[in-house]
Amino acid sequence: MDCEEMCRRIVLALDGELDAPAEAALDAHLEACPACRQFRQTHATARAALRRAASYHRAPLSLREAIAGALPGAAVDDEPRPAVSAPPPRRPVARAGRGSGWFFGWRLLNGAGLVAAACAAIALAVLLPQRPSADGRLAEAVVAAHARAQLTGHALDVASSDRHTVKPWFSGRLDFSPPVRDFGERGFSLAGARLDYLERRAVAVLVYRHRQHVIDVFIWPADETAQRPPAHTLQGYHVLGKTASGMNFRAVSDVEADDLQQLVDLL
Amino acid sequence: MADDPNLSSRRARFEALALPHLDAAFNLARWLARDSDDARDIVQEAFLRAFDAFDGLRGDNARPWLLAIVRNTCFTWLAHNREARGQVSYEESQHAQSDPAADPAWLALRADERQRVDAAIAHLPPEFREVVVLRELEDLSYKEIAGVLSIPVGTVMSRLARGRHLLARYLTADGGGEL
Ligand SMILES: [Zn+2]
Repeated sequence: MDCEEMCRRIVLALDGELDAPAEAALDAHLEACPACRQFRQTHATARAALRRAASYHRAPLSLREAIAGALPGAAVDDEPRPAVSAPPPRRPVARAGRGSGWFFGWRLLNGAGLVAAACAAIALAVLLPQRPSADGRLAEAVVAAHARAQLTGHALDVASSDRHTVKPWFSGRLDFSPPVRDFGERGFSLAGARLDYLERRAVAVLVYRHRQHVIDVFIWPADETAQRPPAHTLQGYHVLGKTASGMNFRAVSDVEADDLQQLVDLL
Repeated sequence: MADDPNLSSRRARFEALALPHLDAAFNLARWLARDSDDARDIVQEAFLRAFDAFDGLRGDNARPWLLAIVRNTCFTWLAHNREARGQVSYEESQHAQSDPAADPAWLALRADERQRVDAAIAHLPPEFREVVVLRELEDLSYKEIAGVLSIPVGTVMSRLARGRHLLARYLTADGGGEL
């Protein structure tokens, strides 16, 4: 069979879009054809590198706020309606200058943007805390890091349920030694660990599994004494934490908050 | 419009369906524009367009639909703005505040690979870059990608094949070694 067709099939097969008979024929061809094996190798390597290492750019919080402020309509909508010819509302774009005029200028013609300005504050209050506290921003960062790890397949740098494997793995990679424990008998089994980045520093992440859910526990040295930060729920993720034994802990997951609290208490 | 009593429920529905895909929208715009500030403007405009076009959405899967709007907004925006600005200078990792690869403290072991992969993607011609980002980073199916780009599924496949081929070449050419 011809190699061009086989190369087409290789691409499909890598993406799981090839049916079984076609895949069987492909396998037979690969056995016999070094050129196609080389092609597959090249593609598989590029694909794996992308999935492993490419940056996933999450939307900044300020963009979320800007969109909420710019959308017409809101939970409460009983402001008097300004005429279409009224002066334009504050431009919802966070930064001044280049770019946005052509679109917003056009947009104002339909008048809906005017309501947006009046309702922006209400919408923001509904969608998001207007000025997240330092701890709120930290929770944001924790959720972002957790979601990024899930999305990009970076969940684990070392996969092991054995703390005697995981703990030494951190030494040499971090300037502190995080406590590593498995709580498998309590329903939270250690799956492994990775390094991540938080508060402008490298931090340890222990990855636990609880039923079908993944829980990330971020750990880094604390300046303060023991305390409990407030709980946060962002984008469907709970963030709970504590400061104890000279370490900050933040656990993040889509498990029930009670289950997450249980793990935080164990840590 | 403003007199529509259903406006707030429409907005609530839009937020429930579209806002969960804000990260995907930003990621796509950021990779196409290769600039975080431009991506912000593009995504904000795309969301407002999407709100106006919301009635055209069939079913509950807003992601391909929204990404199609982001992508179209992106190219319109780039044509409009970059033309006026002249040659684009993009410092690939200078202002990506949410991107750990931008920070020199990011762990060397990963930063190296990440920077190389990011640079390779940024280097791809746009028609390959968008397919690669939608497939590898957003995990859209061929069919969904075909819908986003309004091209046949066969074209998605051939562009993806070509894109990966170029990436492999960039990565082995400048990195001085294997991936
Ligand atoms: Zn062959």
